[in-house]
Amino acid sequence: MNTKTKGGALFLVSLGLLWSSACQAPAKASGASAPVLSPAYSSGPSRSAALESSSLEQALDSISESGIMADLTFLASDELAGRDSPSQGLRVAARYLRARSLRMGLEPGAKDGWFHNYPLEHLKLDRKATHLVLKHADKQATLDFGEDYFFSSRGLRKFESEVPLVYAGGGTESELEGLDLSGKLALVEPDAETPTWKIPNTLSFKAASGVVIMPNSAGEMPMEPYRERWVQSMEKGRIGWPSADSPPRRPLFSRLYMRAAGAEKLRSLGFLEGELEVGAELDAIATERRSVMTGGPESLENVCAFWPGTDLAQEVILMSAHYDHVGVDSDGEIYNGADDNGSGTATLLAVAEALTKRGPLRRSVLFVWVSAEEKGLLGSRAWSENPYVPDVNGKAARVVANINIDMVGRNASDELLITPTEEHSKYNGLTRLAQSVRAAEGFKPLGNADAYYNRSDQANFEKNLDVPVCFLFSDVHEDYHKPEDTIDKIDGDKIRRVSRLVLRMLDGLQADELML
Amino acid sequence: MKTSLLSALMVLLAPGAGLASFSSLGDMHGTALSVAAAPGSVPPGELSDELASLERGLAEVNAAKILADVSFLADDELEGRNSPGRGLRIAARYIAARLERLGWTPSGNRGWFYDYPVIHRAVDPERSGTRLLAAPTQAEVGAKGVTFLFGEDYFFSPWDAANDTVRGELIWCGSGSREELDGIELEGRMALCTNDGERTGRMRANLRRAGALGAVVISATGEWSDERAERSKRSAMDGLRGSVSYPKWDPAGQIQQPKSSKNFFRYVDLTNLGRAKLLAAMEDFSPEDPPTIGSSLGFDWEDERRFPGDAGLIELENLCGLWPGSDPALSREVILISAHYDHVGVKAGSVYNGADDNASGSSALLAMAEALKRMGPLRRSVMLLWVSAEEKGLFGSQAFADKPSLPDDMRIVANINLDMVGRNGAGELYFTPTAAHPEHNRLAVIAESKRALEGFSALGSADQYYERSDHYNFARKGIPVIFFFNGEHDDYHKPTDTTSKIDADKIRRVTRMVLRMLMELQDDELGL
Repeated sequence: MNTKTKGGALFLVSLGLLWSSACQAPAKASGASAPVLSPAYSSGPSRSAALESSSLEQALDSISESGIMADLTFLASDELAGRDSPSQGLRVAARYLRARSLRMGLEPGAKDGWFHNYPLEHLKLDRKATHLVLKHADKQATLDFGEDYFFSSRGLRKFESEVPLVYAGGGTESELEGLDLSGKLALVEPDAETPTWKIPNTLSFKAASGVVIMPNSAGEMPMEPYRERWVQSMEKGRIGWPSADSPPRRPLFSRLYMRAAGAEKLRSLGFLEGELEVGAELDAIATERRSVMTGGPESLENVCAFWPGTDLAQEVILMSAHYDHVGVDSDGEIYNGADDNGSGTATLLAVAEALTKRGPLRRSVLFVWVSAEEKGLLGSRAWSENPYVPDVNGKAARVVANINIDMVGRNASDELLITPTEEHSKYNGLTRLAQSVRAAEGFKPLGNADAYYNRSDQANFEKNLDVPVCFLFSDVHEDYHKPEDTIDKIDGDKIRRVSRLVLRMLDGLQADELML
Repeated sequence: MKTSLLSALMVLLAPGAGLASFSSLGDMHGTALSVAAAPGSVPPGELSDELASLERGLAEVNAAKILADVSFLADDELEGRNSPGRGLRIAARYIAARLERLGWTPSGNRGWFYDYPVIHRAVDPERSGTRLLAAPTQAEVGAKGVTFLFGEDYFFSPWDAANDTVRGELIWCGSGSREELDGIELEGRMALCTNDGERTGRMRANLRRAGALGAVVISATGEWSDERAERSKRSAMDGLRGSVSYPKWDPAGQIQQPKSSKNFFRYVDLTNLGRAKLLAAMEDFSPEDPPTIGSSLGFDWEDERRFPGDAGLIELENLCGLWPGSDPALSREVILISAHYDHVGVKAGSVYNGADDNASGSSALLAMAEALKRMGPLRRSVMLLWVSAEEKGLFGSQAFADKPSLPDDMRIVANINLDMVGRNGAGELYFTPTAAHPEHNRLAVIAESKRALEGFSALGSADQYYERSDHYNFARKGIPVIFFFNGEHDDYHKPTDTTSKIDADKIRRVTRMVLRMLMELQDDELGL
């Protein structure tokens, strides 16, 4: 640039500076306009109720597949080691979400900033103090966990019971017809033909307090192949809800699998001899004890980012997705969790970014990325049992609806499922809204995901916040919860269209009254 | 000062906004910076394209956003970004994700990444082990002998890292003194010795002279002092970190295998745990009532040491993004802007966050990527290069300078390097090469003409650091360079080089200064 134009340019620059300081800065087309600098959306009562259609289009078009895949590549990288709760990889992911949120112009959405910290406990089986004691007449046998009997790792919790044993024959429906086994531990000697996995279900319907399954008529315990894995898993332990804080849970239905050594100990007591009638009391008492050691607390993070609204800013639409997955297995295989739930995590980022580029909605949006979903929806439970929404304009705000996204990057590009549908007790207008905008994004009528309603975070939000909820989900697939859930299989364009669908839904939540 | 001025301007410009406070870092840091765009943006069409482009770019550079990047890169979870290390790889992927989202052009040798080999001499604990085995003539000691675990049962110093296995008959050698060893033949054998904290230099020398493969060392009394245990633990940690060196190529173009430590002597230091394990296995032996010096103990000792990777050869990553120029001829000339993104990792349990060194420079480059996107193409091409292993000896830049991943018809015509630009006085900045330096070039003159616009006092001299950062490798190739640096400070190479001390606005102004310099590097003739 030569000096002549420089001088003139300098003059114009000064003029420009004066000009811009004399009036409100226009809503910038470049990134990150904080709401306060977007007067186009905040002035006067004549504002339209929705994003003006051209700006909705711009917002939709600003969502790019390459941007989504860039986020997903980071989240599903081996370096994040499968984002187990808790783990370094998970914390790195949280910090990535924080950096992204801050840089795009969102506000901290948690009480102490960007993270909602909540405690979980580390639970480990105390093998030495876990046992089954059987008493008959004046004789007693103590069965050791792991050696004599075992149960699945889902049964890892503190438990004590003392119940009489009842004979349940082969454990089949027909044998047990008409019997009421309430409050008793059912002892089953299965036929080799009966599938073992069916037996506990049958007995639980008969209201038994639990079941002891002996080796079958061929002398086998079909669950034996799982034993070592279960035992190791319980000794390694897992993360769980702090036991001291738990409300009373459903009583445990005890499922005990007897090994040969344990069966021998049991038989040596002598109460299982001769012809036994199905339903007969066995004159034996079983005292079961499960002991756990607790460690921790471990502190986990939900990531919370806020996009304040305008005239209805006190009403908050909660957007959620879990950002954790299941980590690394004992062989060192990384479960990248690209679809589960890198896809949903990236969807929220894409939706948020589109909103920040195009301006606030009437209602506020709170983005919450939850952790420990894979441990039992614990992050969403922790958040919703203690919900926090930032004040807006000095007034308290509250959640009025939740849209939850989990696994939206696989399967047919035009297929997407939703819950709750009309067949579900929690059916509400969000589903109608989603159905009304799905075609514009190339989706067939949204399918039914009601079977998954209770397995996803929106169930907690509905339960604890009493708000209409909606769950978008593209179904499981062959790589579900396998190391093969990797980014190369992801349909990035599908995630883009799901993000656009969600943005359309948010646009459709702009009426004076939400009729959901 | 500047942040409250910004706040005041915000209030001025948006009356009656009354909405929730603008984006802030909240809990992260005390400063309430805003990601809201800087005021003073110019309406388009009023200025020449170039100036308008520069103004757009300058306005895009935002201190809060820069601080967010520094905060991520310098987070404890990235463990100080040692080369090699997981934290470093995470940082690389953070940078790659940003370049991808911004739509830059990947220009490494693998997409955004530029892979280059280095030698990593370290203990690979998964593949290293030391074992007591039954002598071939005797019955087995367990199925595979007794294995001792590195770190738990035994240590050795990283200087003794090797990449092979040795095995020899185990011979009792007392305390390894000259007198004791007189006349003992130890060729091809391993010595079992006691040592309780005395210096081991003489013992090793004596044993080596006698031809021993190495020594397994235990405490005579059974209990190491805490201090001794601590020292050994640190030694093991150092062993796991290892050391990184630049490979040497042979005339055929193959990388020379790293030799095992010249000190082939295999020193195995058993901990209290390891000692107990050993004595449990060697039932007939007791150090309190030992056999004659020189006796075979009826066992062999096998020691296996492996470097990580392929005989210590590993790959590190640089990051490389291109902003192609618009001029048909000048776009073949590349202005290279560089910063190292590695630091020194974890030492003695403390994370060396490296916020200033060099998350500051790395974040400046990220801000430049964003700004250039707003500016559109310049006449010349711009390349952003984040290099690793700077802290090991400028290896990342050396590899790239030796073999740049540029299309054949492109060449680097200038390098601007940033290393530590987020601390010290707001107006304080140093550079090299100055007029006093033989490599002084016009980049220094351009810098001088721009520095005041961004609030920097007269730039001080960093000539004493000329060879100490990555620009040096480009200078060696005859490329005109300039290096910006804010000077050392008390937290330099300490765990206390943290984000909370960073002046993000300073990084912003350094970034803007470089953008202004870039605009001065667009004439037909560079004349550097």
